[in-house]
Amino acid sequence: MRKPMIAAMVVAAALAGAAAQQARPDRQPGRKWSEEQLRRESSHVRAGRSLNPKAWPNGARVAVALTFNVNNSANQLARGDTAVVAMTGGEFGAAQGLARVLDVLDRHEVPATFFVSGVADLVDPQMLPEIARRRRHEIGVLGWSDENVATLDNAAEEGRLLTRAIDRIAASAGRKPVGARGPNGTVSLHTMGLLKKAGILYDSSLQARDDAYELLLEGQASGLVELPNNPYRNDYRFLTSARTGPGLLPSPELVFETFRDDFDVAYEEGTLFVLTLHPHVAGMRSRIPYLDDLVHYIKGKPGVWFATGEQIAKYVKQEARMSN
Amino acid sequence: MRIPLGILALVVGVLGAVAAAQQAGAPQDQPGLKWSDDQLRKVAHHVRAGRKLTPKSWPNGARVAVCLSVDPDNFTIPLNAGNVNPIAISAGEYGAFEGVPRMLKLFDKHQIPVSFYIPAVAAMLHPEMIREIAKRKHHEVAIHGWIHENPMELDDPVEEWRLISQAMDLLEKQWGRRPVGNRNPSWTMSTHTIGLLKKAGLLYDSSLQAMDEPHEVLLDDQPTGLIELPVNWIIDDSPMYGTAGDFPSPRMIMQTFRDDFDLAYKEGTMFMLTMHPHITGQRTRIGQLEELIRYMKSKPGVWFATAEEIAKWIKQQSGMPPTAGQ
Repeated sequence: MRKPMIAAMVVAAALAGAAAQQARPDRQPGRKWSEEQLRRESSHVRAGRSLNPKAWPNGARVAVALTFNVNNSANQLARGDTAVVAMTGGEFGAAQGLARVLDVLDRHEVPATFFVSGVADLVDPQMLPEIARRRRHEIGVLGWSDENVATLDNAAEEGRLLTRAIDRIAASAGRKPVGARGPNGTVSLHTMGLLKKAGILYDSSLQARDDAYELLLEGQASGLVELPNNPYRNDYRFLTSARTGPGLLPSPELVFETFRDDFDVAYEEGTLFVLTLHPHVAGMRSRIPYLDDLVHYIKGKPGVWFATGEQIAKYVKQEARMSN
Repeated sequence: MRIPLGILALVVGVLGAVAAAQQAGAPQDQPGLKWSDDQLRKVAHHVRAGRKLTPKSWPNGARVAVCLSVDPDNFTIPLNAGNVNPIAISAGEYGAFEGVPRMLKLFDKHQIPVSFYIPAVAAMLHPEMIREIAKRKHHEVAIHGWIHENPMELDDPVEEWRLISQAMDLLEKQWGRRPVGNRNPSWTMSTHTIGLLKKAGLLYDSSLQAMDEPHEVLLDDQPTGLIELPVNWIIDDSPMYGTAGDFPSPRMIMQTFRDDFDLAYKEGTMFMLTMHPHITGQRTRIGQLEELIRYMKSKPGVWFATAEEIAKWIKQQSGMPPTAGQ
């Protein structure tokens, strides 16, 4: 990734020049960029073609991926925060939340995808065997310690953490993960290159479309599949946990109603519905019945394919005759 | 009295730094408390609402004018700030890939003309947006900065004029017509902005918030001939249920927008709703926009129009002199 570095140096030099002139840093460097610079700087990681297939398996109309971010207290540990009570808010995910989530999935006999931070597995090693023994769920990687890789902005360190996480999860789950989601809702300019190097099949962190798409790296087709994530289909900012207090819309009824609206349009448009929940947030007693209701509602529609991220990524890749 | 040289140097240094900070325009703590009556009046009256321009009636005797306005910013905000992180880029690009097509489809279905305020760089990087908008023939394209810059922070009339001129030229080239309207990015203006919009020969602006109804903009207490079609943060999707929104319940927000429309209808003025494709074009939100459109369409005497059509009607009804450049 030399280009971004050179670009960063150019930007830094421009910033320094402007600062010397005005004695104030220029916080709007983009307005001075040429068309070529604008195109290059916005294209380090970019959405390529849509990979939405003509039809999903068995003629299904929509693919549904229920995904869970199992980070528990990993981010707190990354920050070196030893606060005891806060730690238990994350622990809730392992001690209660996950079992409730698995129970809902068992009852409806639907597969799900669990993106797990290496440290969450290290702290609570009983979780992954519980998920794995169901035999229908996928276990993907969510960084080492739910680290913010954007502020880290260090390819070597990010690569070290990713390898450590993949190795740990492979050992605990009995299989090397093929799916990744950026830890802490972040990716860096290095992330996608590192995922490719690690042999990852798909990422689920970006938001450019609602349907599956191919990722372009520096304008080139990467072979990486993106199963888009989206903050509007994520429990975290709405409901959060006891750890950080209530979220922006702490009414599970209103939140899950919104998720259902999202599914309804996905169904109508015939694409993909990726929902992102956290066991320590959605696994609470006041929320879990709404997950049950949502799964029940989705199952009530004809032509819904519940699948793991891996199954979806493999299918769209094959249908689009995408190369590696 | 002997003052040690070190302390003297320190004091001089600190005073110098404070003076430099003041010169550089660093925010001070409540400086307005020291301003004279004249200073207070001058600052508060720099840009101000003039006479009301709500016409006696809207076309075909309609009771209220409704302008649905859309700001396809895409990823211009992070790009201007030099932030090229893939998540920020992808979240903005959602507007071009999903939001604009989904919203256009909805406006087609209900046959509603709409005003699009497009940062020029967003149009440059996604030219298909304006092609699709122009194809419909009844929508308006107007300016929204070069790259969603913050002119208040720039505070540089030469640079601001460069960006406005470039934006006008690029949109004219893509749309095939020179824009006649403006919405300032992030609803921030410098003290130069209104003068520059006049210089650009624009018919109207849609960034100010002094009233619910159309009015003329006064610059230093003088009528400008510039029509203001006011906006408001509480009838804008972004602060309500955008990713940094305070109240992310699409149903409750649309209910609030409907309440706002109801009073506009009762008072017989106008309703200007501001939306973003990467927010209201989301699957979780588009259905609620359709509900709102259905509701407004169910009322008699609602004129759905572009801001340009509204401004032109107002201008004709009020007998204002023609705008330079029109």
